[in-house]
Amino acid sequence: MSDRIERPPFVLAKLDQLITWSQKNSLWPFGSGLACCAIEMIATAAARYDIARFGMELFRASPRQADLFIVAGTVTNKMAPIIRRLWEQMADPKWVVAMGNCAVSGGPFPTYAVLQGVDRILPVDIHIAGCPPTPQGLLNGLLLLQERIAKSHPTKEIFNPDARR
Amino acid sequence: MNKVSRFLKTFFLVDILRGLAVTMRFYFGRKITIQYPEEVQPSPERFKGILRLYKDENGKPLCIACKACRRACGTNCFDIEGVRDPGTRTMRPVKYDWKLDRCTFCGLCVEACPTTPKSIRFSEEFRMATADKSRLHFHLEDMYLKGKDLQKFFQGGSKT
Repeated sequence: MSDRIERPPFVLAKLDQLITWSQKNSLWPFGSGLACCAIEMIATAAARYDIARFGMELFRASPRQADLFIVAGTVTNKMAPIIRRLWEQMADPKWVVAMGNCAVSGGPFPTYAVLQGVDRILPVDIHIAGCPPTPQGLLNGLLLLQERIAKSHPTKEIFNPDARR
Repeated sequence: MNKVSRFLKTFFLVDILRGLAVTMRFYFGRKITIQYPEEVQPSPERFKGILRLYKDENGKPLCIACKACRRACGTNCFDIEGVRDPGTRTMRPVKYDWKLDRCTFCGLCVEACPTTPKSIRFSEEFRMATADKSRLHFHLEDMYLKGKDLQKFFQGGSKT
């Protein structure tokens, strides 16, 4: 049915705007710091770059309280099932950001022990390259994610549950 | 005396006020937050941003396809092929593939580059976010992109 609604009805469009506006301005990240990228992620949360300006100040320690999964660092094959389970524990709506070359594609480790990109197990929304990305690079990626959320249509799921991702 | 002073200290919350004084000093002090999208932190002198190929003043590519960067690279980011230009008898790259998602920004390729000025250099670009992972693989034409064109490439602009 969602295919027939090319342009959503006025009420739903306004509702979309309201929902996406509130979603994008209160992204609570779940920082899974797996390697050196975690240091840059922590620096982003500190005073100089201050991720709180975008409504992301609360780095939750529990995946159940988070909306945004920042995979920061090398995902080894041993860690991969745990990362997948953490993502499954997050409540919808949820987003994934792969931060750093290791999370994007295995980076400098094309080996048997390292997962070649976290997008093999998770639906990644934004890939942030860099080794590691600077705090400003991470903020740039997060702003990109906010733009993408603003363009999404959460009410589509009412008519078509399959429209989710 | 000791007991009385301790009582007064706890009663008037001296330690808490002392701690709050530090907070207030920073509150009215110099602001250190960089308002990122509006204002960008000036990059340090030897900042390692994304690798870019450069051209000389006449718009000719500096690269001579010697593959020194490829040999120096620790993670096999490069795939280069060169062809000798029949007119000028110099080698020019016809294929210059670079995988950003494998790069560790170590700078060995920049050190190995024999041309003067160096044809491959670190730029000051730190914005390397994309929604499409395949955008992290660069070809010859994309290696010259900078600034807004580079961002357009990352966000799904023209792909060569």
